[in-house]
Amino acid sequence: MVRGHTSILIVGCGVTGAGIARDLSLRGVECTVLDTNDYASGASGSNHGLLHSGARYAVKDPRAAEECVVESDILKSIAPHCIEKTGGLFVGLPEDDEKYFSEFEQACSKTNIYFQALDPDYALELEPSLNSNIIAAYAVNDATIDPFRLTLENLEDARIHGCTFLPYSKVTGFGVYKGRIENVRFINRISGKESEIEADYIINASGAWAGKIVGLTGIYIPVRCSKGTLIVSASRITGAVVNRLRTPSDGDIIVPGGTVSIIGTTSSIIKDPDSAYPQPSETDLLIEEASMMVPEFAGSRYVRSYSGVRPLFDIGNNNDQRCISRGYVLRDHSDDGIDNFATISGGKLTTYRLMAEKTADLVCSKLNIEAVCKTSTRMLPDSRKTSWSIPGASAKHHFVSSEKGGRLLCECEMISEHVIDEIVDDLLSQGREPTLTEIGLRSRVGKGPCQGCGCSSRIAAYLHGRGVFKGRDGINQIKAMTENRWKGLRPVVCGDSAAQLELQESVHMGIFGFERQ
Amino acid sequence: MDKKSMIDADIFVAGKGLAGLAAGLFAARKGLKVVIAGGTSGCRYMSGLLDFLDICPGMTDDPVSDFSLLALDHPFKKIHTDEIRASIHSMMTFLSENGLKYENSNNKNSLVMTSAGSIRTTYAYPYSMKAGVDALKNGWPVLIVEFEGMKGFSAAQIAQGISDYCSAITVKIRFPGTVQGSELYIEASALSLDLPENRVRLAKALIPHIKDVKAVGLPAILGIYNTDRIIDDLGALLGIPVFEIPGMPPSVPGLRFEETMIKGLERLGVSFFSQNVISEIGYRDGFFETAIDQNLGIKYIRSKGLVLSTGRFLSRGLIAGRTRIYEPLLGLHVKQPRGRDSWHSRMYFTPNGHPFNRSGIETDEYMRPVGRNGRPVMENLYVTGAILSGQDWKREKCGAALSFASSARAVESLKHNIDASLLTSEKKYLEKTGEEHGNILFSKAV
Repeated sequence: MVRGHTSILIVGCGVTGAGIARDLSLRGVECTVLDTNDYASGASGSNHGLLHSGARYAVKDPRAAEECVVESDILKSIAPHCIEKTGGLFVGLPEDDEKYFSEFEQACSKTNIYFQALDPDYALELEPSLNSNIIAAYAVNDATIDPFRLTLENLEDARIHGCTFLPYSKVTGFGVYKGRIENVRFINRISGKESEIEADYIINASGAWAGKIVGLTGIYIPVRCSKGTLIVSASRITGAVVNRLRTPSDGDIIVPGGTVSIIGTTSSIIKDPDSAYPQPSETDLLIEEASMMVPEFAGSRYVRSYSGVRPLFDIGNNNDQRCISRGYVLRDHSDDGIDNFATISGGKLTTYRLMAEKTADLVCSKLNIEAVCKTSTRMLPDSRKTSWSIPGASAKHHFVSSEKGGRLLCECEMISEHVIDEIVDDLLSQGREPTLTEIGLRSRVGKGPCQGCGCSSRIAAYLHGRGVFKGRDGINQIKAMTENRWKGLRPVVCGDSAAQLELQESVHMGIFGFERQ
Repeated sequence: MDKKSMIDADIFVAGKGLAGLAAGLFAARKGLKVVIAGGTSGCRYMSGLLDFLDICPGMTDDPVSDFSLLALDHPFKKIHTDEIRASIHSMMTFLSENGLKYENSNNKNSLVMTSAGSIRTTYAYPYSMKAGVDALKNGWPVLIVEFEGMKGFSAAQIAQGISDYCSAITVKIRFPGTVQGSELYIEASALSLDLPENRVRLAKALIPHIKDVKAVGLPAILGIYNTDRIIDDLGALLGIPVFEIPGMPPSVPGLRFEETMIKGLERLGVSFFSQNVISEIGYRDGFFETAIDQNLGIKYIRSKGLVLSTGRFLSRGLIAGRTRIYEPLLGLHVKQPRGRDSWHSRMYFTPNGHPFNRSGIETDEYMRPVGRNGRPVMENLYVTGAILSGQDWKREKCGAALSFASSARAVESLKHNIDASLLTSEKKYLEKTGEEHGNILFSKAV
């Protein structure tokens, strides 16, 4: 049993947990953040990547809308390298309720959300892929943000300022004594090593797992899990974010994500946040809804789908899952009998920084630390190690760099040996054993049209050559990475994706016989 | 139709993969006139090995013993094991006669190492891979060689993977004729070894590294047209046998297979249309009429019989829409699981395979496609190869046997029919109207 001590322990390294770690670290407060997986493995890694202008919430949730307005402006100024200012459109089709159009205008005006009514013909000039039947259009300041990069930048900046990151660490229990958590027990899921850590204060930032974590202390918080499924098209079809002009419902947002388009979302209650699987019926629904706004989606190739889980804290008796508050919850568990424990959960990607600030403020006040939040004005660093997930970054490096870039290991996304070396060396320097999945998280490996088929084998061979992989590591890693990606590929297999899958199985099973290894 | 743009044949084969080429051989051997059309086929993705049968779990050395594990609607249930085996050996003999020797150990399966360090079974292997099979069987110490700039092939990975069978040392060398830092182009490098002087250079580069080993394993790029000779030459120069290790596409052994078959079949009088689009297939007065779109116009092939060996999704023999799978050339009924949710298992590597993979065209025992009522769609139409339903060749390790045996059965039946029709009527163009003969233009499903 390994014992350790930290000032603040943060459970969960999604964007909120990483944001809290950075906020506290910049205030000079020592902290440790742990996660049962790597970073951004929950909702932070399976959302739409949308930096909300707030217009979507203006009618039904003006408070959330206002927060979005303020926070999206802040993020645009402190983290421009994670953001693409795509602009957004709200479009109305002939079957939509025109009453909503005027409600929309009024609500946006009231909450100071920038919008501009557009002539439908002009909207079609701006976005030619739109259905030519649209009867109304508004321009708004939606943008897109890369949640993986965002999370990693927050985490890296926190680490530079003294924060410790413990990946693959699953909390197994809390030692509660006289109204305080005395220690936190966790297990390393890779090594099996059990550890115990003492902390002055514990923050539960575990997102959809918030109820489970709190439950380990004996406190019960009712949390419902709402699954949202999204799908990714092989190419980018719209330039701007495209929203439907109606009360928020399934499949009414199309978000560009670099070189792809992402359609979402759905909303269904599930029992267990660990079993969120995208279903073919959900993907079909998304394609149908999106095709109404942009007809080209009906015939597109889809490379993957994914599901994220939103924690919902019940307020009132409303059965519509979307109506249940999507605002965040910051609960000081002194109210539940434990003095050095708080839970922050819910909210949106757009408001993560605000949630982190409020949480850090609470913690500092509880510990009588006088330190001011810096995150609203301090630029988020643009560290090279997070840049490999930008589409085209590896390709540009390969062509432009004067250094020996090495040979291309991934031809879809043009990722060279050199980029793989950087990522692997960084992981090794943290005392971690690099996996293909981790490399994929930090780059565009596996995200191109081949979805990892060729590059996983080439990278595995390369890492065996470097001595980073030994024995059966290569085969095991290829299998793990492929099985991981399969969750998202299975519901959208058809057309060209079926052809690609057959090639992949021909290699994995037909040539290598991996199903027997 | 312009008579000049029309070709008469006994059999038209759609598809130039393992099944299509096998059909061509068996038909030509029976004295039938064959025309084959097809684009890039499965040959480019094959390992070069010829499989018979080995069903999960585990690995078996006797393919016949696994027949009891076959699903009831598996194509092999319609063909006797001796016939299947004979079709493989027929192909092996033809390949060997045409300069690409294939071998098999006692009619059993053998173990082969791959470039991923995995070990798998196969039935017949090219001569160029023989010493690798022997090494695994006898536990020989081996040298595994990797080339600088060749991606996806790590000698260390292979050596570590086979360590339960053989001890191995490894070396990385520069392929003769390349410079440091350059990328290795697979086909060009293979071609360069067809020249004897490059073989000598390769051997010279290898000799210093041969220490207490009984064989040397290399990537499967040892020539394109003279591989068997290259294996012998290198073996003589090094004093120990040399073998190829199969790996990822682009597959040079697959290319050799394809080229050898095509050249051999051309010598037997088989005609080929490559990379041309089959735009339409019709049926008139007892003949199939296939329209092939060439750059210079349309060519028609009028044939008594038609063999559809167009493969699966990769070669577009089958197309998966969002709700169902269909066959695009003739609109044949596709046996398939209902609804996309039942197409695939939750686990990609499940040893049981996916129902999607077992979709395809169902046939009777003569390889004639059947409709929804279970009866053959029409006379002289056959379907062979990976497009058949009831099998998952990638997991069952039966790809080659499936293609060869189904094509053999189809050709035999078709030959029988052609002979029978020659006995009852004269072989001349019949003047009856379309309705009486049931003229059809196959509906091309889009």
